[in-house]
Parts: sequence; structure tokens; C-alpha cells
Amino acid sequence: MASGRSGGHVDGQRLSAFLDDELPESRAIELTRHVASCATCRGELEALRTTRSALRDLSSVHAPVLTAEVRSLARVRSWSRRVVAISALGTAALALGAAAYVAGAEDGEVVPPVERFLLDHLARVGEGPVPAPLGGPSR
Amino acid sequence: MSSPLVAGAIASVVLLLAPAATPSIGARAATPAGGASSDADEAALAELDRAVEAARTLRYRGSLTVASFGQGGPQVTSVEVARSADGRLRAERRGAWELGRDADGSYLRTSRTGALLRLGGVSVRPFERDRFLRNYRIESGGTSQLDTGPANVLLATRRDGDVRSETLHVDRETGLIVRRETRDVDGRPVRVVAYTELEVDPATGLLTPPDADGEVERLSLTPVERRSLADRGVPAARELPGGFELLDASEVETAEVPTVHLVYGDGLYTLSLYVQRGRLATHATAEATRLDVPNGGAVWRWPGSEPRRVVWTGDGRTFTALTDAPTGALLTAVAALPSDPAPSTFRRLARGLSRVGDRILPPW
Repeated sequence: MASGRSGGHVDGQRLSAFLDDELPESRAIELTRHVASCATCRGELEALRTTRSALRDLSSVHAPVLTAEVRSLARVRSWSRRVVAISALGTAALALGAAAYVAGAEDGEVVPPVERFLLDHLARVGEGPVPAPLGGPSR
Repeated sequence: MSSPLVAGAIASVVLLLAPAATPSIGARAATPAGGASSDADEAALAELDRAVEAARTLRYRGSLTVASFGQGGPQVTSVEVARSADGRLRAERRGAWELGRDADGSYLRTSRTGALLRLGGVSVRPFERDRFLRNYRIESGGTSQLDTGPANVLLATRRDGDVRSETLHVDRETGLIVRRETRDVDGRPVRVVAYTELEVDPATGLLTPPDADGEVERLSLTPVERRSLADRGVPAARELPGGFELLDASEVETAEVPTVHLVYGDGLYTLSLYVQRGRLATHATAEATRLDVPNGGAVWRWPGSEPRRVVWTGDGRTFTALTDAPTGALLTAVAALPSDPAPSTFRRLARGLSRVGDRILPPW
């Protein structure tokens, strides 16, 4: 095996290509013979396989859950922005309505002092539900 | 409210209302008057004159009960009345209560009424016989038997209609009016005022009986005075519908807003009209009840039963009317005065938005 070896051993790139079944058949047979007789390269190959297997397990278990959480968070942020925007618009509308109601008051509005008028009326007219309403002046 | 008071109130209302609901107003028995109408009118007029003279000259003391019928149910007031030697009429209220659906909230409105409490020492306008007879027809209504003794019944009917406005019971012995029943233009009872006890000493006349001719006040405005009011924007109509004639006009000096007080009378009822510059504040009518008047405007009935009180806005002025006349007669009278439709919240908002826009956006 002329290429892909360093110090008589197979390098990691060729071992990785072997695991991925990317080597030509003749090279793959040659590497298989070498690994069968070389404890160092066999150990390197096993380590590489174990690492790959562990990485495959990690991606297959955790990646989907993480994606759902991120998507959920994104939806919440989107709704929050909408709620804030709607609330701000509503508050502004209410403030504008209140301002318009106050500003829309008629100029020179008065609250008639009816109780005072009542006393004035009774004092001046002397009116009341008396049974002798036709009486003369009582001074 | 204690149970005896409630029982007394119910008894008073039944006592007062029952005679008022019958055509012949005798409390226990009434005998229809016979004879020609012209003779009956003359007899009624003579009895009316006798009642006027008795009220002017006699000293008396008694217990008076007033039942006023309004929106919230009948309101009953009990008063001790005394006519002293100097001619003053003094009244001391013994109690007041209301029945009906608004009875629980009656105290405030009862205290607002206060009319009878103001009677003591208050001058009463003289009876204006001619004005009364211009607007009312008086006739005999038979006799009645009351708690105070036998009485002659007089019926006062408006000349512009057939509805009987007043039924007066004149004590046969003394000539005092001891019971008065008032009805509205639709025939509904407005109030019943009656003595339940009365002590009169005919031998003891007033020490200084007022001179009816000398005490009569000036009862009409000159054209110059009316023109002066008109120049200031006060609609001082010489007459209001229902026979109310303008009697007097004056300034109310204690009011914060310049106010003119106009007094109208039809010979039986008195109507005070207070006119202020400015429109009626919307929030001022929170406790009032809206009423529509024939001219399409709206007036607001203020809480309280006696005297009747309404407020409204017209032509940039606020009017307050107080009267002892029934509500129907009051609304007929004020229909001749300017009144605007009820204020619209939408119009107010639109006006406010326009003003806010003018402030925020400067003119181009």
C-alpha cells in the first residue's frame, strides 16, 4: 500500500474512507489484509468506528428535541411581539378617545345649582304643597 | 325605618290615595251638587272667596300629611303646621318616608325635598283671583266628610281642557281648605295634601290681618324690562303655554354663573325659571331622568318630588324650572322655550378629535 500510509501504517483519512465504503475494491482488499496483520492500524480503525457510532447516536437522539424547542421559542417571540403591538395600539386608541372626549366638551358648560335654586325659589315664591294655597300674604 | 313608621306610611298612603282615586273626592261620602251650572259656579266662587278670606285671617294649628306621587313611589311627609298671630305660617316636619320600588334609597331624595321645612316664615304670594279664573273653571263638587269634619268640595278644571286639576275640600265650619288633591293633565294623581287634625278658634282672628290690596306685589314686567332681558339673550316670554304669565324677573346674586330668575304664574301654580349662560354639563345629569318635550328637545327631571324640577339646554343657555304644577303641565309650559336634543357622545368625540387634530397638526 504505497499511498495513505505513514510509517507503514494506514492514515486516518484512508481508514475513514474505508469505513465509509468509499475505497475502490482492490484498495479495500489490500487495506483489509494490512489491518488483519497490523495491530496499530486495527486499533486505529476500531477507535474511529467507535467514535463514529457515538456521534451517530448523539445526533439521532438530541437534535430533533432541540429543533422543536427552538421553533416553539420562535413562535412565542412572534406572538409576544404581536401582543405588544396590539396592546400599544389599543392603549394609544384609548388615550386618543379619552383626550377627544375631554376636548370635545362644550365650551362654557355649567352645572346648575339646583339645590340653591330650590331654596331661592321657596324663599321668593313661598310655594309649597299647602292645603291653603289660596291664602293671602302671610308676612 | 321602624315597623310602626312603615305601618304609618302605608296607612297614610291608603288614606290619602283612596279618596283621590274616586271621581267624587269625598273621603267618606260625597253628595253631588245639584242645580244649574251657572248657579253652581256662583256658589263655588263664593265658597272660594270664603276660603281665601279664612286663610288670610284665621289662626289655626294642625297636623298635615302630604303624599306626593312620583317615579319612585309615593313619598309621604307629616308636618305640624301653625299659623301665628302675626300671620306667619310655621311648619315643623315630623317625619318623611317613601314607599315603592325606590324605597331603600329614599333618604337622600327625601331630604332634598325640603319644601315643607321652608314654609316657616316664608311669604306667600297673594291669591290672584282674576288670573286664576282666566285659566281655571271652578264649580261645586258636593260635600265630603273628612277627619276634620264636613267639607264643601270645589273642583278646579283647566279652561283649555276637561281634566280636573284640583279638588279642594273647604271646611264647612271655618272656611279653611283642609284637603287638596292635585292631578296631572293625564288624570294621574300628583299629590294629596290633607289635615288629619285641625284646631281653629274663629273667635281669635289675626291681630294684624294683612291688607290684601296693600300687600299685592307688582305682578308684571314693563316692555322696557322685557326688552332689556331680551338684549342680554334671556328669553323672557310674556306667556308660556298653559296660561303661565310672566310675573317677575330678577338677578340671582349668589350664583357663580350670572343667573336670571323669571317667575311665571297661572293663578294656581307658580313656575320659577332660572336661566344661565352656557350649556348643561353632560355629567350633571347622571342622576336625572330624561324626558322628551313636544318640540323635540329633551329635558332632565332632577331627583326629588316637591317642587317638580327639570333642567335642560337650549340656544347655549341652561334652564332650571321649579314648580308646584304637575309634570305634564310643566312640560307643556317649557316646550315653548328653546331646548336642544339630548347630547350625543359620538358628536362629542368627533368634536374632540377635531380639536385634538388642530392642536397636533398645525395648519398648512
